[in-house]
Amino acid sequence: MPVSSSTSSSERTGRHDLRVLLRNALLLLLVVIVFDQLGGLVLRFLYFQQKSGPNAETTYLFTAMKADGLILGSSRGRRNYNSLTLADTLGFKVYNGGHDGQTVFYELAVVRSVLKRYTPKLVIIDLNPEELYYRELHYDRLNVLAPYYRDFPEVRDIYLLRGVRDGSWRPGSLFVSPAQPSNNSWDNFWFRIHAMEEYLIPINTEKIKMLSGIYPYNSMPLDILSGIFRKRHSHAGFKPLKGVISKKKAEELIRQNAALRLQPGKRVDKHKVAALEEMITLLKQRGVAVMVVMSPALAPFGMEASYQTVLDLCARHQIPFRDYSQDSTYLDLKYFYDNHMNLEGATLFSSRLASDIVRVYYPNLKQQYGQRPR
Amino acid sequence: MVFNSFAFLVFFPVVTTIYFLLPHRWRWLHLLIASCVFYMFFIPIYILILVFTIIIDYFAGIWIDQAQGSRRKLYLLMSIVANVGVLAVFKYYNFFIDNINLIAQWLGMNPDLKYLNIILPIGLSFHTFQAMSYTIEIYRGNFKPVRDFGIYALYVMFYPQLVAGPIERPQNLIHQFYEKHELDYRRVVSGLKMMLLGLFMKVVIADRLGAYVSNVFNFPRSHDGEPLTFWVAAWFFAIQLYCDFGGYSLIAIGSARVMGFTLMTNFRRPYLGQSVGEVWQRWHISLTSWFRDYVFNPLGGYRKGKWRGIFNLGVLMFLAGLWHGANWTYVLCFMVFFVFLASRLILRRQIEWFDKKVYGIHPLFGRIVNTILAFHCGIFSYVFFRSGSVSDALYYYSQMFSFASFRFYEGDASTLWYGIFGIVLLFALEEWQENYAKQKDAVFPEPKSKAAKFVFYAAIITVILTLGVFDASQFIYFQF
Repeated sequence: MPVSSSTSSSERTGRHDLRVLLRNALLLLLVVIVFDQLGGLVLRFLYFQQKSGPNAETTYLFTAMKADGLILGSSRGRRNYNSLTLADTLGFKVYNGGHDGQTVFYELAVVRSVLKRYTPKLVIIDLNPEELYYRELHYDRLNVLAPYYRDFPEVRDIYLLRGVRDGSWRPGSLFVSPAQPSNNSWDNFWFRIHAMEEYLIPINTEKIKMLSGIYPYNSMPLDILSGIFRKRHSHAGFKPLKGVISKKKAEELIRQNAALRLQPGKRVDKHKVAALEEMITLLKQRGVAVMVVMSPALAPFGMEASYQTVLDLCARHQIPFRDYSQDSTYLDLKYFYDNHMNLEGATLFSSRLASDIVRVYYPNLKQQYGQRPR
Repeated sequence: MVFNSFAFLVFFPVVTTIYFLLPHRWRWLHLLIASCVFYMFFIPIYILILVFTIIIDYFAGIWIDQAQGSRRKLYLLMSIVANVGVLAVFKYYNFFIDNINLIAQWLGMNPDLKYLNIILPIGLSFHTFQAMSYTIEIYRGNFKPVRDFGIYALYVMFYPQLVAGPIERPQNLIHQFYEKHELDYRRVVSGLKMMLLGLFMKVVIADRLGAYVSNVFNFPRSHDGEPLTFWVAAWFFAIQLYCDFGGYSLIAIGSARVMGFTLMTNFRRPYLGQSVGEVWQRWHISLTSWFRDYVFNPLGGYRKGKWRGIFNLGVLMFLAGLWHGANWTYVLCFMVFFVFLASRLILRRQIEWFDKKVYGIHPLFGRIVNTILAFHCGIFSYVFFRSGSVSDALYYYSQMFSFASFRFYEGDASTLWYGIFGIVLLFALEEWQENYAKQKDAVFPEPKSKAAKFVFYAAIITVILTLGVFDASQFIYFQF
């Protein structure tokens, strides 16, 4: 076994070094905390000074937006729904609250904050057929809600899902139970990546990270400056794409998407299902006309468990569901920029969707609320 | 466990504090348990692979030492077969089947051999090579086997370098486990500085550039007709790879240093190298020296003439490529690098003439030109390294030289600009370390006053907090 080579003088030096180390470490920690909190204050102030861009639009949705019609969705929601066209047919103001890269979590945060202020008449939730599958990326992207964590209590437990992932937790709790993707508890520990971490440190680390002043604005300084100084216009939240996809790029896109479809291990995400369910319940309780729509897509999606879950949920809550994702009317390259529709495609789709809504799904909507000043 | 995770933020101070609090005789056990936990953060069951190779190599070491004549070779062979066997099953089996199926199809047959559905254990090639160096050194008579099983297990599993090196030699590491390390303020601070720089390289530069690189390399055909995009992604990947692996190595060496251990240097500012040979000598030093000591030199090195030397170099590069991964892209990556290295040997006179010319204009000019040229030799080989398949890599090269337009994929603006900001800071720092630092192992050009030092380091931590990517992403080299 190891041979000791210690001397009492080296031990004394060690104790002295330990004292110096602890003192300096504490001092450094103190300076870091001051920098962090001051930096956080500056970034927070600048964040809410933004006038345009996605951050400013989120703030607007959370604080001031009062349109009667609201579109919720990811980048597909943002690009495929022309709010002005929808407003023309429906007869009331429509705002497109879609946000690039987001999913039902962000949409639930919008719904909660909107319902705190007013009751919209119509909410269209755009989903893609694979929306409800578990994807790490969707949890990473909850960082867009981090700046609202302190001042918007309704956002907190949604943001904290970032530290829960496929585990389980009680909202508000610091602790997270490990994920159990298999019925076999042996497999859940011994054969699963990160299982050890979840069992040894079963805490929601995001809750601790949010003690930092800077962390909620991590990676955002440039976006914030751009939001303050760059003017980017949207048409009531709608961001049209101009241009038409080439045949070669379309084929490549379809090939890539087909490859993605074959990824193994897809599973429906219980947190996403819960978020969608809460969103629909909240809206229905307030008497909002809700509709779930799958907007047209160039590259086909898989129609599997996620799709079926959406269908079941809509049936259970008795809300209209319409899948346009493979509607042949729109399967023409001239309507697409990439897998998102271009302005021409979005306008055509929005006008037909609007007429479907007033004709089939909510025929009383226009009579009740239409012709309001826009 | 990854170094850039919350778990490590808890693990490292806890393990280090307990290490210094424990009496010396228990420290090895503490480090061994900590290393097991560290490894099991990936897929716990894979610890059994390590247990298997540790047991084999521990006894092989003793038997080699005790045996005489051909039996020594037999025990060495047993150890190598066991280690390479583990690699063959977990890392190369599917690659082997893939190639058999391909050849059979080409011959009109359909053997349809089945693939193994397994996730590659992390760092397999690293600890396997470290374990092999132990039995080889005993066989060569350079090292006496350790009798303490726990110490040998710790040699293979020492957590700072367990999953991505540096690949240590028994002569350098094992005796350190027997030495008592008192807490030494200077060593601790120097180790922490290395860890800070490593973290900066990983989360501010590598992971930031990774987003852009992945978009282009994973979907090259989506950027058809944008040659500039392909160049930028290739430049970024070269820097991402260095910052990812170099950053990991710095954290590994730094965290070991905090506890009083000295691990070998793994990267020495490779992109400041002024020739492709110099880049090679500064890159992943623990692996290149492993191949030099155990493959290149036994084959005769450069001692048997230029052409034999070049052949030996080719063998080394082929094996180094294969070591990296079970894909021909890795082999081709290293073979491209081999072509550049061999060219330097063959065209020595012409290169000397070129050097004389460019350095003649101005030494700084010569340095810049040669550094840029050497960097680009790296880039050409890395295209193979990062591409998913040989056909993707060839497509990538064709796009780099398509001169189709000046269109350029900006990606997320923050990725581009934060990445560039990090690169500029890093290269300024490396230039200072290389040419201006008074101490050889200085990490940062820190101010003299104590108060300013606190502000300086707090500012670096604040920059990391503000611009770092904190998604605890894996290090690229873990897969090897």
